[in-house]
Amino acid sequence: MQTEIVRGHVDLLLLASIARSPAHGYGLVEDVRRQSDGAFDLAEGSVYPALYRLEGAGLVSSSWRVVEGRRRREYRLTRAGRSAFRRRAREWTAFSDAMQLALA
Amino acid sequence: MIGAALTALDRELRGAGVALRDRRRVCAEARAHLEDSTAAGGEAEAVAAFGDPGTVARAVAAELAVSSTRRAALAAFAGLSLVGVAYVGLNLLEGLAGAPPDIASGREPLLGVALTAGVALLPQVAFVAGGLALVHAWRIRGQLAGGADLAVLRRRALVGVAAGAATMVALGLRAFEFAPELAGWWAPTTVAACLASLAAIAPAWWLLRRSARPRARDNGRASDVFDDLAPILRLPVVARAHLPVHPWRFAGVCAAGVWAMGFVGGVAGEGAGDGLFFGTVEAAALLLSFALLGRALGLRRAA
Repeated sequence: MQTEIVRGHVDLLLLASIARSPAHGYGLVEDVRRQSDGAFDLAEGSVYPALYRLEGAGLVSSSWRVVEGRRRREYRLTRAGRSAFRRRAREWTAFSDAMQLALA
Repeated sequence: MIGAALTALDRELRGAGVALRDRRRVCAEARAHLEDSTAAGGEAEAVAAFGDPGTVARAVAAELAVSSTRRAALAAFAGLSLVGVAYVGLNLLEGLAGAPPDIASGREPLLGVALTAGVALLPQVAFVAGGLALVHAWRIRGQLAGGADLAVLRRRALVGVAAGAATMVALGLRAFEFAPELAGWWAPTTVAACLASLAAIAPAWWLLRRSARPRARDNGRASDVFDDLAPILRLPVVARAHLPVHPWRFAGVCAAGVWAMGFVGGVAGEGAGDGLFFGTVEAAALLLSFALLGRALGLRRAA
């Protein structure tokens, strides 16, 4: 999958991943890769600026947690994040459906 | 290898103006990430997959520039709201302290007139600048705004905070200037409220100065008041009115509105003479402020 195409949708991919389960940065990269059957291989360092953007916009919150003896910063959706995710997912689905019709 | 990568990341973050506390957080997250990634593969692969430290640091700094500037602007508006409450409260209390003094009856008549004019006009500058900062901060939420646009947002908030602080200083000095004509409790009450208001907006000043440190993304033009008003200008009923989008014509329309409000207020108070005077002074002050602060506040359409 072309990097430029994926880059434009990093925010939505991260919101979707966090909506499935709160996770830390590496866990999110892995989850997106796994869910997309390896098609969406995010540039790992680029995930953090995107997470800070989502946090700055109040869509996710984060806190340090110790998991299996390791300290990690875990991200979870806020209420605003949940509604933003649902709205963006709806928009994307409508766009995707229209695109498929147009390309058929 | 992870240690070297983290050292490089920290150096790049520092070079991009990221504060120590944020650098510690980013590097701690990067360390946890690299350790997890190493456990899944090799150390060299983990460092390579994480990406170039300079690229990551610049992207982090750009995001932090936006979030810290927005936060500072919102803090400025919150502080200005408290200043507004104190200002309105003191104006209401002044009626209990005695009759409103003649503006030329102060200990130093010229100073008394200047302070009274300042107390009347500076809050309007603070209100407009603070309001613009609030709308601007709301408008760019979730966006990666560029350095030029963030500079406009910071200037709006700084002008609002400076005008709010100047209002409170003028109000405090004015209380002493007219103290002989008002109740004894008036001056100490005013000074206490002014000092509390200054303390309320001081953190915003500090946050605004600090928000300029992370290097923002060097992209795009600075937005202006027409970007702020775009949702309103797009409404069918407003669009049909064909409001002017030329800055000075827009200022003229605003000045006419302010003149009308000043005139009506003056007529309701003392009569047509006062109405003409107050309307003209308010309209002239608006046009003067537009000329002096229009560019700083992003009121004029950016080139």
